[in-house]
Formats: sequence, structure tokens, C-alpha cells
Amino acid sequence: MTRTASPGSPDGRDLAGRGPQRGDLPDPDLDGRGPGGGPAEALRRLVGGAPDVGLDLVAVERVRRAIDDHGDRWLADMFTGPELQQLRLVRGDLPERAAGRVAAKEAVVKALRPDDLVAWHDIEVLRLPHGAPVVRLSGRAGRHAEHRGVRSVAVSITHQDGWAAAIAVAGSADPDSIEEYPHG
Amino acid sequence: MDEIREWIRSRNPSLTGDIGEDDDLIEARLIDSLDFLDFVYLLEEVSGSPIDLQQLSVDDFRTLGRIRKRFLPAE
Repeated sequence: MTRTASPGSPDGRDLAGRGPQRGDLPDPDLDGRGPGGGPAEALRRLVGGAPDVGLDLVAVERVRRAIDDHGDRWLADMFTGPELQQLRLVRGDLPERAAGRVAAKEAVVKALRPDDLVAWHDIEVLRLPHGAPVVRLSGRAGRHAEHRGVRSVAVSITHQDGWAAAIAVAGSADPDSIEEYPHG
Repeated sequence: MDEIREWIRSRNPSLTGDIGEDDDLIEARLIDSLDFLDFVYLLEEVSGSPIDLQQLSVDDFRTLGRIRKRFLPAE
């Protein structure tokens, strides 16, 4: 969504209470060069330039079948020790929770666009104490990210009706700047 | 190789025709990422040898010919 309100009038009205007229409105600040920046500037601050995005959808039943067929071996090949520890600690259906992490890993792969296979262990998706997922890269995934200048990867996971979906955004901004970015 | 062909067909029921030795399995998306571990386990079973997941390259799986050369050299 593109916001067209003039800078300094967050509700889209000017200080006199007059609704903005067509002629009053500046052009959409898509390049973020206007006063106070714009959507593009906000995105740049968040991810440090053009972000790479990955999206993935996983059917929980496919994960359930893999676990039924291969049990602990599949879980151990798919997830690191800390990931498994977290997955087993959280209440609920293990295949459903595992499907969310798999979707997140795959979304990260799509965002990073590596030129060769990366091991599932190279993309570790953990939950912080407040519940937000965090990604740690290692091995080929870590080397590829470093080579491409990716310094931060953010993911979000959701589940509904037998499906798990995740989106990943990889950018060149220092992870600390993401923490500082004011939400809302 | 029959088991491998059969596995690919089971995962891609809409696939028609033969799978050639040089057909690009990756480009055709016949082995997807979620099935990848299952496929590796099949190769281990067929070859009788363990496979190190950290040492794999996408080109190892690109065609049946490469799979044969990389994982089933005795065939």
C-alpha cells in the first residue's frame, strides 16, 4: 500500500483540519528521498537495500508421513539438536510444529537462492523466549549468505487447517538495526 | 535404477512417459525439497552405503545417469 499523505500529517489531514486536496498531495515517495523518507526508505532501513524474499507452504500431512516413515532419523536429519529440543518442549502436535520450521527453512533457502544444495542443519530456526522465530545460518548457507552480503534473515511462521506457511526476508542491514527499527 | 524410477513416479503421479538417463530431474522438479531426505534414504538402501548429507551437490541428483555414477557405481 502506498501512503500519499504529506509529511508531518500522519492522519492524512493538514493542520487546519482541511482534508488534503488532490493538488496538495506530493507524489508518492517511492524512492524514499523526500522529507522523512517513504515506504522505500523504511524498507531500506529495515533490510539494507533491496531485500530477497522467500515464501513457502508445507502440508502438515507430508511432514507427519515423513515422521511416521522414518521417525527420529528424519527429525535428526532435518533439525539440529536445539531445534529438536524446542520442538519437543512445546505443547501441541509435533508434525504441525515441525512443518512450520520446515516451511521457514525452505523460505530461507528461497530468499538466499544458493547455487547448490544446503543441508537442512545449515538453516537453524529457533524460537526466542517471547516466541518470535530467529534464524542462524552455518555451513554452505552461512557462506553463501556472507558471499552475497546478507547479514540478517527474518522469518515469520503461521499455521492453519493442516498447512504451515513461512516467509523469509534476507537483507544486508546489520541485525541490530532491525531491533532498533520502530514498528508501527 | 528401477526402484529409483518407481520412487520418482510415486511422487509424481502425473508424470507420463519414460524417465531418460539424461532428463534433468531438478529442472523438472521431480524431486522436491520435502521429499529429498526420503530420496536419500532410498539411495542408501539401494546402494547399501551411507550418504553424508553435508557432502551432497545438486548436480549429484540432476539426472538418473549422474545418480547412477555417484551413488550406484557397481551397477
